[in-house]
Amino acid sequence: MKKKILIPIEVLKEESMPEGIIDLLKDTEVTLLGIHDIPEQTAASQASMQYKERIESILRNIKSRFVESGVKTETRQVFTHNKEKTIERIEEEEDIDATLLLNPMQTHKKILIIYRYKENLKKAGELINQMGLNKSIVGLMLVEPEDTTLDQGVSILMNTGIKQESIKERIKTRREDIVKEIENQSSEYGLIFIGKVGKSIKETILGNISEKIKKATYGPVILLEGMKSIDKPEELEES
Amino acid sequence: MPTRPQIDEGNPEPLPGKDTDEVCIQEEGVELERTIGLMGGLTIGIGTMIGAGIFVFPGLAAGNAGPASILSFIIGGVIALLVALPASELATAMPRSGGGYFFVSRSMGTKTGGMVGISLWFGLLFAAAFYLVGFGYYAFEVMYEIGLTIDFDPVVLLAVIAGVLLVAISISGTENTEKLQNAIVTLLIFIIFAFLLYGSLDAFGVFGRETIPEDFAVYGYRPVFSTAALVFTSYLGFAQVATIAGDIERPSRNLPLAMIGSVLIVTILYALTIFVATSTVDSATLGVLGETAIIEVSRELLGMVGAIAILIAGILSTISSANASILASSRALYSVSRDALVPKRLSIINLKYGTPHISLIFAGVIVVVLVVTGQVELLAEVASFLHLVMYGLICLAVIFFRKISPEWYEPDFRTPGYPVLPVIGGISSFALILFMQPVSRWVGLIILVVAALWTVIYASDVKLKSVLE
Repeated sequence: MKKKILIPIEVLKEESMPEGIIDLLKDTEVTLLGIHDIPEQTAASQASMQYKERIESILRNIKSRFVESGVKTETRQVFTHNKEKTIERIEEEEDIDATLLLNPMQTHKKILIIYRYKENLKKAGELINQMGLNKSIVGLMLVEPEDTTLDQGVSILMNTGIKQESIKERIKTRREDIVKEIENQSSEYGLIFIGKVGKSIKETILGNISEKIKKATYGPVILLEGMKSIDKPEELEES
Repeated sequence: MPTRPQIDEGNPEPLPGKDTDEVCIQEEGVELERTIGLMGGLTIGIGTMIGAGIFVFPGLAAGNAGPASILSFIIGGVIALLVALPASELATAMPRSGGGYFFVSRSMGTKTGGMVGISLWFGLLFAAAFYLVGFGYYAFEVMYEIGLTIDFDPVVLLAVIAGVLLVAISISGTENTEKLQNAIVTLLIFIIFAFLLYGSLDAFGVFGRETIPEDFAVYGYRPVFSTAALVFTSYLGFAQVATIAGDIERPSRNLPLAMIGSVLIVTILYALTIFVATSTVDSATLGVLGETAIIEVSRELLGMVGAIAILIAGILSTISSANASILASSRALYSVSRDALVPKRLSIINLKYGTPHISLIFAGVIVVVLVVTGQVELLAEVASFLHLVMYGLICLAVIFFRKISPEWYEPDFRTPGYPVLPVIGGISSFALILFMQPVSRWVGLIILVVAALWTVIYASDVKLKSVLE
C-alpha cells in the first residue's frame, strides 16, 4: 500500500517545492498543506481574505507538478496561530504515515535515521523501500534514554530489506543534544528520518523544535510519527 | 462532524458549512484554525477590562460618590452582564469574527451597522487613549518614587511614548504576545487578589486597625449613577471576545463562558477594590489622589511593598488594556472594511509581519491626538458612550433574530429571561448614556452622526441585511 505523506508548505514565506522532492515521493500519496502562520494579534479570517487566492494558485501549480509525475495529490489550505497544532490535527484527519519538512534535495542520498523506539525503525525501513532508497548508505542515531540497542536497530532495519553493509554509522546521542548532533551530522546526510523522540522541558517552553531541526539540516526531514515525533512533551508522551 | 450553520465572512448570505470545535471552515476549503481556548478568551476579556476599574477609577469614583461608588461599579457590572447574555447567544449562533458590529449590521442593516461599526472603532481608540493616559499617571508615579523629578507634567508625554511603542510592537507582530499577555494577566490577578484579600480582612477589623467611619452615600445617590456612567469604561472588554469568535476553540462552550465569566470576575474585583479603598482612606482624600489613589490605599495597608506592587500592577494593566484596545480597533476596522463600508486598503496585512500595518498606524495617529488632550474622564465617557450604543443594539438584535428566526439561527446558548432581560439590557445601556457629562455626550453624538453620514455617502450601495430576506 502506498504511504501517505503530508507536506506542510509556507508558500507566503517564499517556500517552494524543491527539485527532487517530487521524484523522491513518486511512489507515495501526497497531501500538500498550504499553511500560513499568522501572529496572534491578526484574525485568521483577515489574513485569509487577502491571501487565500494567492495560496490557492501556488498550491494548484505544485499539485499539477506532482500529478504529472503520477503522484496522487490532495491540497489543503489553512490559516493558523499555532502551526504545530494545526499540522497535528491535519495529520490525524488525513491519517498520514509521515510528515515531510521541506529543504532542498541533496545530490547524495545518504540517510540518517534518528530513533528512540524500535517501532519507528520498521516504519522508516518500509518508507525507505517505498521511496526506492534501500541501496542508500544509512546512518543510525539512537536517542537516549532508550528502550532498545543499536544492534537491535540494525537487525530490524535488515528485516525490512536494508543491507547490513549499507548501515555505515552508528551514533548514540542524548535527547537534549539532538539538535546539536543533527547539525554536526547534517553535512554528511542528504535525508533525515526521525521517529518519536519526545520533547524536552526546555523545548516545551521555547517551542518550535521542528523549525530548529529543519534549519539544522540541508536536506528534507521526514517525521515518522508526524509532528508528534518531536513536538509532544516527553512526559505526556510516556504517560 | 457536527454541522453548524455559518455565515460566510465576506457575504451576508448564510451558507451551509461544516464548522467544528477546532476549525472554522470557509468557502473554497480554506480552513481557519481555532487556537484560543477558554483561558485565552477569559484573558482577552479580563485583560482588556481590568486596567481601568482597579487602577484608574477608584479614586475618581470615590471622590464623586463616596463609598456608594461600589454601587456604581455594580450597576456597570449588571448592565455588562445583561449585554453579555444576548451577545453570547448571538456569538454562538454566528461564531465568526466580527462581534457586535456583525450582529447589528446583519439584523438592522447597513446604515445602523455602519454607524455602529465605525463609531465602535472610534470608541476603541478613545479607550486606548484613556488607558494610555492612565499609564502616564502610573509611569509618573514611578518617576516620583525613584526620585526623578522634572519641571513639567510628563503624564501626556509618557502616554504618547507608550502609545507609539505599542503601535510599533503591534506592527512588528512579535511572537508570543499571547503568552506574554497571559503571564501579565496572571501576575495581575495574583497581586490584586493578595491586595484585596488583605484589604478586605483589614476592613473587617481583623488586624485591629480602625476603618474609616463614613456614610455610605456621603454625596447622595445621584452621583452613584453619574459615576456608573463614568466607570463603565471598566467593562468595555467582554465583547472583544466575540470579535475574535472565529479563532476561539469550542465556540459554543467557550464564548459564553469567556464573556459572562470575565464580566462576573471583574465586577467582583472592582466592587471589592472600592470597598477596600473606601474602608482604608476617606472618599474626599481618594478623590484628591485621583487616578493613582489605589497606590496610596495599598501603601496605607501594606506599606512600601504594597505601594510598589500596585505600582507595577498598574503599569502592566494599563498598558495591557491599551494594547488590547489598539489591537481590537484594527479588528473593528477590518470588520467594516470586509463589508466595504470603508476602503479595503485600510486593513490589508503586510506579508513580512503578518499584521495590518495601515490600520495600526492610522489608529496610532488618532490615539496620540486623543492622548494629548489628557482628558481622562472625557476619553473614558466617550469610549463608553460609543460602546453602549452598540451594546444596546446587541440587545435589540437578539430580539430581532428571535422574531425573524432565520433557518440557520440555532444558538447553542440562549439568553435566559428572554425577552425581559434583553429589553432591560437595551434600555439600561442607552439610559446610562444620559448620566454622562454633556460634553462627552456631544462628542459621542458627533462621532455617531459622522459615522452614519460616512456610511450613507460612501457605502450607499452596500446591502448587509439580505441575510433576513
